[in-house]
Amino acid sequence: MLFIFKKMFYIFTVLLVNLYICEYIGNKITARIELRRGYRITRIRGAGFPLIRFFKYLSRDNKINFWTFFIFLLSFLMWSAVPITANLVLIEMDYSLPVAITFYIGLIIILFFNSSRTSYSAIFSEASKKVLILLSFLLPILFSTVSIVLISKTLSLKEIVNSQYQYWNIIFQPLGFITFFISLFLQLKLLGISRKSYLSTEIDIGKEGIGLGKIVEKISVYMIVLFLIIILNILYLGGWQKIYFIRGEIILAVKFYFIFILLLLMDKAIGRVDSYKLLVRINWKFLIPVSLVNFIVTLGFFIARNVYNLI
Amino acid sequence: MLRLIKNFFIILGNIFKKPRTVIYPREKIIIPDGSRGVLHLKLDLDSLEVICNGCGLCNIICPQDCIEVKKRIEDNGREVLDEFCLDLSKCIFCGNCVEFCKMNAIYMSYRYQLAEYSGKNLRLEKIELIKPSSTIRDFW
Repeated sequence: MLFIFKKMFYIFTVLLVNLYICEYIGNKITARIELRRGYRITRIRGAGFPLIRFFKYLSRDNKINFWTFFIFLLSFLMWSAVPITANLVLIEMDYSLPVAITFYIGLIIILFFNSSRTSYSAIFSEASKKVLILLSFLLPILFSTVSIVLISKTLSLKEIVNSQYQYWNIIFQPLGFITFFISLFLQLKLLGISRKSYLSTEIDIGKEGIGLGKIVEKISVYMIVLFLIIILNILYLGGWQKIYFIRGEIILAVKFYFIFILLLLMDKAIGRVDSYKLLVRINWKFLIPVSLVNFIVTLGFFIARNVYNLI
Repeated sequence: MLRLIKNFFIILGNIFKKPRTVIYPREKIIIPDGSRGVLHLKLDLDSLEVICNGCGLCNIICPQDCIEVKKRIEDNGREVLDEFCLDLSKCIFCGNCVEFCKMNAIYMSYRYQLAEYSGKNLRLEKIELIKPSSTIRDFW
């Protein structure tokens, strides 16, 4: 029992430290891109900024709205489960699948019958619409992941990393990598990692300066980004495979922050997305077809190689 | 798509540029040429007297009515400026008074830090307007 607690403590410490660094880097890079100096009131180049912002939000208000609660559940419960286990869990047939399907159907039914024009129902429909779009972004990720599983013929993350000792999977699966990356980026765009890139809605849900709800939302957004980048690293970029004499953990950290900064830059380069429709269109007309084609081609190669021994 | 790639490289380049903002009390920027600060009365360098003869044109032309001018006539019949009062709380620094002055007796200095604790201090008298400005543009 103690052993598990020790492990959990390590995991949470690493997560918190990474969150702190990500918030700091995010603030600094955003400031630099806009040719500002950034937050400088605290000493050592504003290193205490995330802590001060945390206290600022904490002191304001303690209401948590429905949307925040939903996003927190989604991010924390969904994404925190996957990388901590040793194996990839694509679909759990025992009880998670019925729960997920009920969840989906419930959301869709609520959206169908939600025709009243009160403000509460409007907020609810906005939030559930966002959740559905967020969930639909998982489809390309699922297809890309399944292709990787087909290539390495295992669900174990350790073996997937070990199989990349010679070439990274990005060489075999460039389309899968692109769809995974764009899907990750669009999720980030939907949730909004920085204030200005927040998707504008008719009703202002989860805008800056709400209080405790904002902290929860920010942490959950970072959680999604953190875990998805780590999965991207493990699946496509060699994971903790060491390069020459450099330790694997350092390599993983370097790759993680490289992708994080790249995402921040792209977030700033594209600017604000004003409608859901654009994101939905990109998802259904580009990401899902491309990842599906990639999956089918990989499946074809897999069958030709392992069943018929053609290649 | 090309525009996005161009944007991306502009943003990437911005990271390595020097930031435009300054830490205000410690660092100060050079004020742009032609900025308008507080009014000043010019002095005749030979006699060290005010050039202004108190004709009151600036008072008439001022859209905010923030200048008050009084003149007096000396024994030899010469018109001399007696009082010149500028209310900075009203002034919008439009520069009309400088443009319309026939004698070219007024100019606008580069003094711009005008915060005060009480409104009385914003009312500048003739003596304060004659004093050379402590603000020199290039050293700001």
